[in-house]
Amino acid sequence: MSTLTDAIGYGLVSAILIALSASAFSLQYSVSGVPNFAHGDLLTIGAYGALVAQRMGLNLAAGAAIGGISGGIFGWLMYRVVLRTFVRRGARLVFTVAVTAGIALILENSIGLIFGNSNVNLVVANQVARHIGPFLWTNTQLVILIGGAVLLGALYFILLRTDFGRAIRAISDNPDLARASGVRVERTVQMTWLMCGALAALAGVALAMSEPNFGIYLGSDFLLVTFAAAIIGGIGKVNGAVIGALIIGVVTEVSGSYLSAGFKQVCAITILVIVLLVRPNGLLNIQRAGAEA
Amino acid sequence: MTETGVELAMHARSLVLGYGDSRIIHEVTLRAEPASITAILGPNGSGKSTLMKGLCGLLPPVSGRLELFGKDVTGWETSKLVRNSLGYVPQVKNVFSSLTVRENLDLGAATCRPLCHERMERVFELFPDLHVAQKKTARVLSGGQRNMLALGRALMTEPRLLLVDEPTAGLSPKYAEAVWDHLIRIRESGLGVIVVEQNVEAALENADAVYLLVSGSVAFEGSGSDLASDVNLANSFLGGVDRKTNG
Repeated sequence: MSTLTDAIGYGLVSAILIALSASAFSLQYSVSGVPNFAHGDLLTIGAYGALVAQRMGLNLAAGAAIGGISGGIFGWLMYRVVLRTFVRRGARLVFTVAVTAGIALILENSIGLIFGNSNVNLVVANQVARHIGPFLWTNTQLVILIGGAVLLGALYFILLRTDFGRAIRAISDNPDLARASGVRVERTVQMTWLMCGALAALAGVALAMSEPNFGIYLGSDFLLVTFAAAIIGGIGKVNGAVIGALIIGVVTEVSGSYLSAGFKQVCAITILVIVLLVRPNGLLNIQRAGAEA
Repeated sequence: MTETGVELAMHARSLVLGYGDSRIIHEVTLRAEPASITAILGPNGSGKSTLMKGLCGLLPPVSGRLELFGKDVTGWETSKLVRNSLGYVPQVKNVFSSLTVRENLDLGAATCRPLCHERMERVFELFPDLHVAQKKTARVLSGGQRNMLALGRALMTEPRLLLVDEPTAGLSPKYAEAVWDHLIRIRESGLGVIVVEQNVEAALENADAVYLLVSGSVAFEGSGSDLASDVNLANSFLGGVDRKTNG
């Protein structure tokens, strides 16, 4: 019994990490139509940003802030400098996939050049495990759970209660009509890439905190579960990304503890295929992608 | 300016529009007055919707000039035009289907904070059905309600000129009549309206000025009654005034 509840507890921690990453990926896709294969590298940038801050003597909270800002800037630059041209031309999906995959390679190799290819680690407080209800969590995992929930809550608030959030949802529903409603589409899309870059980078900091050490492929190794969660929920839906993340996070951790850690990704793909066979547009999507909270 | 010295709401001069190398609209000149309804009619494939896209900034002109209340707005993006007194209601996909009725209206209000509450009340006065359905997702509205919402959303930006693309397409005669009633009330409130319409009879009856578009060029310009009395034109391009074209 404790193996199962422990696995579910770890699964919830994984789920919150995946939910942050998948929400960011999903929103970027829904406003611009770009499936960002360099999304994982935004997580990696966040982790290395926090590492640099720690090496400069700052604490982890300041490190997370610096990591988040770095990811936001890189996310914005990625769209503003490279991808915007392809979006404006109405480039086919295969081109944007190839371009973002290329950006991923460039970023990974650049990080490797700067920091070396050896694994590094973030310094976190001594791990103390404690039972909360049936679950056993370390203090780091609790920080990730609470911090992640706060970030998701803030994202919901932005999407549902602010003009910026309504503009994001309008653009992902119907960009031409958003223009005809006076929404500054280009500016909103750029701000979405900035916000989601920061969100992904914070997910990267949390992911690095939960790992004993990490390297330049920290984020790209996380890409598969991110895609799976976003697609399972119905791409463009933050609700969907959270539901997808819960399913992927819990099932992969439980299966990993009973089978082997190597089966985690196999499970994620299996769930993805099964869901898409039954619901081709994902669990929450009724028609085309439209960002909803 | 009009002949009577009134500033035109919109003046398109020798507008050429197209996609890539193909030209759809050939040197069209159109004048729309404030507080009046200007109808654009024409057979299928005459370029009505392309012209509408050009007038609202979704399609930049190849050549020509576009003026909005005397200001040169040639090449302006739609969102900039909307922030400068233009409202646009597309024919299809004219509401945000994943957003609630109120959120649809709120989006239009983004251009006019902090007066949005007052404007929303005015829209609800004009379309009481929307007030009742304000928490519903637009996806679940009937075709007629969606068209009301589309008009309401456009009015939230407080335009002085409203472009409406085929507002009665696919609607029952009852709803089509209601849409025209609303367009007339909108005109009475002082707004100019340019409408592309497939319901020829209603357009000729209610519009102050009519343009007949054929193969991307203006074949007739004048009043509805003049066009109705030109039997050859009406029969050749509109199938007679007592029948409806297919847009």
